[in-house]
Amino acid sequence: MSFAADSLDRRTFITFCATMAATLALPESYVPAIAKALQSAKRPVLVWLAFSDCAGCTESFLRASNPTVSDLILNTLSINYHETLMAASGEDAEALLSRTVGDDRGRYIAVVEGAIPTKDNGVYCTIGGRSAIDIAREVCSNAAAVITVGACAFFGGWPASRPNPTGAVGLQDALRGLKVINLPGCPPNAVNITATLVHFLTFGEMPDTDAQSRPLFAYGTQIHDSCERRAHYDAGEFVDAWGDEAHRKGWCLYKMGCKGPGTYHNCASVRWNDGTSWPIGAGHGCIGCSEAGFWDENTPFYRRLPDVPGFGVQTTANEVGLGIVAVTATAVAVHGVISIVRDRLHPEPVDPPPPSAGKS
Amino acid sequence: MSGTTGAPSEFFYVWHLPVRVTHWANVAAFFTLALTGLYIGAPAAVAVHVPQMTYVRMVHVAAGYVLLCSVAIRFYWAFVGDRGASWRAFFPYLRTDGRRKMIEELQFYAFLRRDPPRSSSVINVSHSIVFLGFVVEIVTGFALLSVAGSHGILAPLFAPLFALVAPQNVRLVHVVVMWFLLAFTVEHIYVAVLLDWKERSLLLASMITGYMGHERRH
Ligand code: HEM
Ligand code: HEM
Ligand code: SF4
Repeated sequence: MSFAADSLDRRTFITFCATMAATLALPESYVPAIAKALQSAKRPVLVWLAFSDCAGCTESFLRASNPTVSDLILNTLSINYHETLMAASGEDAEALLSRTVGDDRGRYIAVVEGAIPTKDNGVYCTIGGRSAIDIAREVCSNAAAVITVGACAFFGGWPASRPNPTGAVGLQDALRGLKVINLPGCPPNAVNITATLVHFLTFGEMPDTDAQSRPLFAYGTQIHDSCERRAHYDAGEFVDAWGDEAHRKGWCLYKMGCKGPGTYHNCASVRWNDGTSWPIGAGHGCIGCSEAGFWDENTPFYRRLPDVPGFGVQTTANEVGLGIVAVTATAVAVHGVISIVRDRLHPEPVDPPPPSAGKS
Repeated sequence: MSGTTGAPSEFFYVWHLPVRVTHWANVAAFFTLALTGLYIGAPAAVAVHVPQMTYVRMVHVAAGYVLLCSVAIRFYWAFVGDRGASWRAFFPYLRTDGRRKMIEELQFYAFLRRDPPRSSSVINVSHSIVFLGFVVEIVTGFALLSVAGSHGILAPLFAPLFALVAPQNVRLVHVVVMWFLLAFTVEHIYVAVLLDWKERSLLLASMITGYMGHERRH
C-alpha cells in the first residue's frame, strides 16, 4: 500500500515530501528517504482522542490539502479511532478503541486534542461513561508515541482559562511523567502535525523539542524574529489604530497588542491554508496561541500591557502611573506652599538650634 | 525667608565618594531608562529610515547595565563602607531611637514642629524602598531582556521567575515600578530642597561635594 500508487501522482507526492523536508528543516537530500519511508510504512495505527475541545484542531488538520488529509489518512496511516472522522459510533466505536489498545499495544500513535477536566473525578468530560483522564491514561500509556495537538491538550486552553470551573489541564499535567510531543496552537498548523508524523515515520522517532516538548522545527523561533513586519518595528513604524494609514501600509502591529515578541511558532514561514496568509500578514496582531496560558496572560489581545489590577479595564498602566506622579506632585506643591506661607506669616523666632553633634 | 544666616560655619564629611558616585550614576541611568523605557512602551517614528527602536532598546539595556553595576557597588559599600552609609541606616524602625527619630521627622513634615530634625530616618526608609525598586527593575528588566530574542542565553536564569509570573505581568511590574520611582523623584527632589532651605545645611551641594553643614544622625 503506497501513497503514489493509490491516489496521488508521483509529482504531487514528491512535492509533498519536499515540503515536509523543508518544514522539518532537513536538507533536500532527505526527500528520497521521506518518500521511501512513506511508501513502505506498514500503515501505522493512529488513534485520535478528543476531550474538552471545540474540534477546531481537527478542522485545521482537515484543511491540509497537500496532499489532502484523506490521502494521508487512507494511504499512510490507519486511523482506528477519531470521533469526527470514523464511521462507527456508540459502543462499536469504543470497542474499536479498546481493541486497538489491546492488539497494537506499544505500536500505535495516540493523538490527543482537548483539555482534561480533573475536578470532581473528571465528571465534566466523559465518553461512554469513562472520564477523559481515565481514557487518556489507558490509551496514552500503551502508545508508541503521544502527540498533543492544540492549546487545550498542551496546557488546558480555553477550558482552563480563569476561573477554570472544571479544573481543566493539559495532557502533560494530567498524566505527569508521560512522554509527549506538544503541538500547541489555537489551532495548530496542519503542516506541523503532518510533518511531525512524517518525521516519526521516516526516522522512527519524534523530532527534537524545546523544554516544553514542542518540536524545534516548528516552535524554535519567535514570531517576532521571523515576522515580515520586523523591519517596520526596528524603524519605529507602527500601526496606531485599525485601518489607519500605517495599517494600510502593513507596518508593525506592536502597539496594537501584537504578542509576536515572546511567541514561538513558525507561522511566518509555513503560513496557513496552504501558505495563503497568516494572522500578521492579514493585519491582525499575534495573540500568542502557542504559549502556555495565553488566554489569561496575553489578554487584552489588542493592548501591549495587561490591565492594572484594581483599576477600570480601560485604564492603561501609563495612565495609572501618571496619576501616581500627579498626586505626588500635588502633595509636594501643597506642602511647599504651606511651608512658604507659614514662614511669611510666622517667621521663625530664633535661629535653628545648633546642630546636634551626638552620634546615635 | 526667615533667619537665613548664609553658609554653615562648620562642615562635616557625610557622603563618601562611592555614595556620591553611585548616586549620580543611578540618577543618570534612571533618567535614561525612564525616557527610553517610555519610548519602548509607546514608540513612534521620530526620524526617517533610522532603526530607532533598535537603538533606543540598545541604550536602554546599556543604561540597565550601568544601573546594575552602580547599585551593586552601593550595596557592597553598605557592608564595607562608612557607618553613615551602612545598610543599618536603611532600617531605623528596628531600633528604639530610630523609631523616635522617625516620629520627630514626621512631625516636622506634618508642620507639627518647627525645627528640622537633622536626622534622616524617614528619608532612609524611602531610600530603602527606592533601592528595592531598583532591584525589581533590574530583575524584571534582565528577565525581559532574556526573552527578547529567540532562545536568549540568559533565558535559563529567569525560567523560574517566568514559571511564577507570566512575561506580560513581568512587563507590567517593570512599568508600574518605573512610575513609582518617578513619583519618588518628585518627592525626593522636593524634600532635598526643603531640608537644604530649612536646615541651611547645603544638603543639595553635599551630594556633590560630600560636605554638609551638620553631622548626619541616622
Ligand atoms: C529604573 C530602571 C528602569 C526603568 C524605569 C525601566 C523602564 C522601562 C519601560 C517603561 C519599559 C517599557 C515597557 C513596556 O511598555 O513594555 C522598559 C522595557 C524594557 N526594559 Fe526597562 N527599565 C528599567 C531598568 C531596566 C533594566 C535594568 C533592564 C536590563 C537590561 C531593562 C530592560 C528592559 C527591556 C529588555 C525592555 C523591553 C521589554 C520588551 O521587550 O517588551 N530595563 N523598561
Ligand atoms: C536630580 C536631582 C536629585 C537631587 C538634587 C538629589 C539629591 C539627593 C540628596 C541631597 C540626597 C541625600 C538625602 C539625604 O539622605 O538626606 C540623595 C540621596 C539619594 N537619592 Fe537623590 N537626588 C536627585 C535625584 C535622584 C533620583 C532621580 C533618584 C532615584 C530615582 C535618587 C535616589 C536617591 C537615593 C537612593 C539616595 C540615597 C543615597 C544612598 O544612600 O546611597 N535621587 N539625593
Ligand atoms: S507585527 Fe508583531 S511580530 Fe511582527 S514585528 Fe511587529 S511586534 Fe513583531
